[in-house]
Amino acid sequence: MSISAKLSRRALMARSVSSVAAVLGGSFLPQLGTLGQALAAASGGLPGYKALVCVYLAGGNDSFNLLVPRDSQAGGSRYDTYRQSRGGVYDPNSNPLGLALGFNQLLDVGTPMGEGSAYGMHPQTADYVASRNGQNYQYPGLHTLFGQGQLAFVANVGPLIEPISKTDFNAGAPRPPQLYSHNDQELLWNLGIGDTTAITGWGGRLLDLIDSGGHPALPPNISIAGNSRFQIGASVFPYQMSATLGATQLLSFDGSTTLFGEQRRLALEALLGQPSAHLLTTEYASTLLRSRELEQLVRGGLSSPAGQLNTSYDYSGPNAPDPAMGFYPDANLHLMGEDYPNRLQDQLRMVARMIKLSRDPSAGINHSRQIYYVRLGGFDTHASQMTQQQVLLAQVSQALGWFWQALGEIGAQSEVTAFTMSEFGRTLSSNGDGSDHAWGGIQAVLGGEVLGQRIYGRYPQLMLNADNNALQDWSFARGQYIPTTATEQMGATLGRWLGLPNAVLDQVFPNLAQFSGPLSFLP
Amino acid sequence: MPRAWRSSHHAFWRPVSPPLGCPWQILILLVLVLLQAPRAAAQDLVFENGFEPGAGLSEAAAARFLTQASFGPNRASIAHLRSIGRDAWIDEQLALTPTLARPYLENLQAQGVSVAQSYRVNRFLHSALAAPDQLRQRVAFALSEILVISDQPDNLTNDWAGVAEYQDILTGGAFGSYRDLLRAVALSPQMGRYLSHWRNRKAFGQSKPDENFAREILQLFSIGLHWRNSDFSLMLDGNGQPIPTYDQSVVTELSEVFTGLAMPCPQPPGLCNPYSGLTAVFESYQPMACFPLFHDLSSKLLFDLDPGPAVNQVVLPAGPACDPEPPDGSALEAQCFAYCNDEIDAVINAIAMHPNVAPFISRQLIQRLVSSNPSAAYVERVASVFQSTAGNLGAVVKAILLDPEAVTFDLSAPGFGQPDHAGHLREPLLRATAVWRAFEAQPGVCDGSCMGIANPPPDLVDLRMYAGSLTEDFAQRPLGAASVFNFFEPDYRAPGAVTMADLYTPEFQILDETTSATAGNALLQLVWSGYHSFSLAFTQPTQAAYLPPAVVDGLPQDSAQLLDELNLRMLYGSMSGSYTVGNCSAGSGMQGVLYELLACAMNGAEHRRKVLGAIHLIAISPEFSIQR
Repeated sequence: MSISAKLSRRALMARSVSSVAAVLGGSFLPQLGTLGQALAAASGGLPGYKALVCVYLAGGNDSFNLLVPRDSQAGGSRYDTYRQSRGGVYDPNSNPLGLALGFNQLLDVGTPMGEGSAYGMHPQTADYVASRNGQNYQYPGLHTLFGQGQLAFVANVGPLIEPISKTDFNAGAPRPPQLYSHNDQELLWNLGIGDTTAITGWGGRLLDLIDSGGHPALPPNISIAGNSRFQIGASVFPYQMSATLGATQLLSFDGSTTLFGEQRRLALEALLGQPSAHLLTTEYASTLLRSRELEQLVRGGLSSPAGQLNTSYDYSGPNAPDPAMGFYPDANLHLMGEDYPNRLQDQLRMVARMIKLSRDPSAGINHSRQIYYVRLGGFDTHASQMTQQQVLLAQVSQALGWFWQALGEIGAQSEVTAFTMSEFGRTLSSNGDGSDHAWGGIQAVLGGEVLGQRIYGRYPQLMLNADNNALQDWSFARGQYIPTTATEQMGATLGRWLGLPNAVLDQVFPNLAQFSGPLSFLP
Repeated sequence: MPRAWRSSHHAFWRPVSPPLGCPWQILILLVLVLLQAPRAAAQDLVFENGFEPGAGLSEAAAARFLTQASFGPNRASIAHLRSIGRDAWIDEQLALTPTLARPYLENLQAQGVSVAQSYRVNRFLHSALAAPDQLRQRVAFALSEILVISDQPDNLTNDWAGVAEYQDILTGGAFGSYRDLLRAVALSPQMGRYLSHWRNRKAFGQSKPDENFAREILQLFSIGLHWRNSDFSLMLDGNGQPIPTYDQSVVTELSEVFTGLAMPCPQPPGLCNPYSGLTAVFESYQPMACFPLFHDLSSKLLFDLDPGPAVNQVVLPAGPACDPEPPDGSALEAQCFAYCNDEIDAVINAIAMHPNVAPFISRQLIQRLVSSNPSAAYVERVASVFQSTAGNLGAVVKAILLDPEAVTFDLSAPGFGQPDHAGHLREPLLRATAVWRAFEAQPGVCDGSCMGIANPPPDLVDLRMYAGSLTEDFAQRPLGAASVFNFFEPDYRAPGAVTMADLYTPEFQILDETTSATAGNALLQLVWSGYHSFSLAFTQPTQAAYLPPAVVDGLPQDSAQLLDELNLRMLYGSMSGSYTVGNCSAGSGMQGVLYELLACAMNGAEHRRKVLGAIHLIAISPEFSIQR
């Protein structure tokens, strides 16, 4: 089924203002497939294969320490401004309250195309070596991936209603509700529209409109990290998996004679199939039904060769960063292996296995478009930020570096784009030994088709209380930056790449017209 | 052939004869049923009305009430409740001494045990199973999902005593005033570490006070983001928009109040200066103390106590000149201590006085105990008790449980006389505790050798409930949520029909294709704990609770009687449909399915196999999963 056919089949796509309301708040169609109503059963979906992977950094990543101006240490330089705003370079002994990274700790990335000066990346984005069974394996960190042109950054991006200057803000211009609140700002990132009463997320809306074809019962929206509004559409709800177990089989209903499995299975199916007038009872029953229906497809596939990867994973020992990197060797980082499991990497491994499986015609999934969701928590670094965030960023960098290598094994580096979201950036100024909730931040995009080694949007000056209309550089007293690029612009760029035609971008991102349109980090 | 049928509409009865076997006793059973049926019908007329006090309570109504008010009903608690009635039962519960966690754990430690958070979790589960103060424990658990801390962050992972003390603060305060509880929580060093106002300093240089706790005490612990009417509906301004309760400037100003707090200096003094010793680090669960040198002295413009902007705004005055440190023992020093302490008290009082607190907290407690979607009138009735008792949680809980909307459950009416969205999804842990309690589970008993302790004290035992990972198996672990937003949020809506019906379903936030199966498998382990799946031999577990063979074997042998007993203990008699004794294909609903399974499909199976198989099947069934 072509997109246009799909659009016309769903009346909600009429080109009218009300269609926006229909997508955002209108009626849900029944969950596809699992109720036997296979929308796309006869469809191969869009040609080829593409997947988006949303890496959600929960708690509000202090991203102004991920990518940092690194022009010079001289007074008045951009780096110096950053250093001042962050209360000086952190030193556990002489300046434990500072939040700035040292000039020489930052990994140089030179001057990206289109920028006026050099930048550096957090030291924990370095390449790394992991060992297993006495053998060493080399993996790229985000720093190398940026230098190779596979990684790009979107600067000072966040939820907006319309472009807003500091003067506008102080005059009461429309701004997203409940700024600085975790759950509200996370919701806004997920919704892709600055209105928290919307029902669907932009990842879900993309797959409402993009024909992914493939298995009729398995949704093309797959979460390895539980529930997120990001993936909920009007007609497509996510399938939720476990990072370590994949799909879980409900035991004791498998024909075991000891437990009377066959007899109890029939009874269970009768109970799950009973009609109920009670909405919650029905909701529970349909969840367990879906779990059982899809478990065989997914678990069977994952345990077959089509669901296995060769890229080394089970590291045997700790992998401390190179002390020459100059970061806190006393933190005794154990980033890999049994001592320090990397939960983001666990999730991305399951994503990589599912991507491999989905691209293998014999496995029966055959989606041509998918959106995955993974999540790492702990970024709400109000305290001990400098020792905590380095561990988290190391996990992000190492997990994505591993994922990139695994995609190489699959041959899918050009078919997958991973991107970060996080509810807000953080205050530049310190609260003692951490930072507080703010607004705009920096997000990363990784993929073979990403036009990388560049920064999209405007990287701010990183000043406290900035108010510069010429530079569009606006912050409040603690260095909470007003975003200059909207969440929608980043989302639209990703959605267009996935297959949403330009003409209907505003169906998914109805506020997009308020801004200067999609960015150019993807074709 | 005479048909003896019973539907779910009947009150429960137990035959006085000993349990009967299969199959020749069916005839006798039929006779019994016929003899008993008229009596059961008579009971219906007299006793089924759930509003009747005392002995008027049916077994089903008692079991249902205990599902809301405890970690699950069992035969003994049903009988006791029926003997005294709901009102007296609640009063009895309100008066019981709290069962605490920290002293138990400290006693273990004193005997040489390396206590860890897993011991705390086992203690929690054991109290849920066996503590007499069931209502208190249940409400404390609900409060732990509102006033959230978690042992997940590194700075609390090893602090089992502190996290246990926090649990005990909630247990001890479960029936006290909400204001007092809020104060205890605000001064808990574990909350201080979790939301980072521990050792929070007034502004110095470019450093500003940490805003974390200031934000969440308003957003999550007391008043929420928007002005509410007393029935929790949103107040709207002239443009039909919600009215914010505060803005960022209030958070910033409030963050200045929560400065200068840290572990009190240990006694005797000398290790720490109580005026300036903020940065000294001690392990403690004592309430945090004020260190005046680090407490902000400016005046604070806080939230409004009437829908604003700036109506009846809370303003706290500036303090005396406490920096530099005044002479030891001076009047000024005393003023500085008083300013810090009084300001904390003043701000807690102001928050507790905010009119939003009553509907905001009442609604969440109703959600945890009774229903995800209470009517506005129900919330208002409870909130008015909250308001009129100055937030007395004992009175609030009583109002929640005795409200007509909580009590209404007419087994003879379509949909039990409730709306089609009443009740809530059982939380995963409450599923486990309900099964344990229904069948009088016993904890695994782990002694010194079981714990691997050399030369253990002879009387050293630890009571073990669950050996696996609650987070991985149930997506829920007491005081172990992934964030301050709890395992699930009060406003979560499952996508699809639930959202379109404008309903909230908090617990569904952690139910998905994976967790529904992992919880089902964990329940399988829990039900079969100690029993060999093939031989059915029982070996007493040391690490996990088990359903005792005496209880399992004592359940009725007869399929119909067994089904009725499981229906009462697990589903307060609400199992849908009916069955026809002796005719497996004539039943309907869940009763029909289970009767067919027990009487025919598993006919000939050993009793234990039937019982354990049926309990597990019910425990994962849709009807059990939704507590109505």
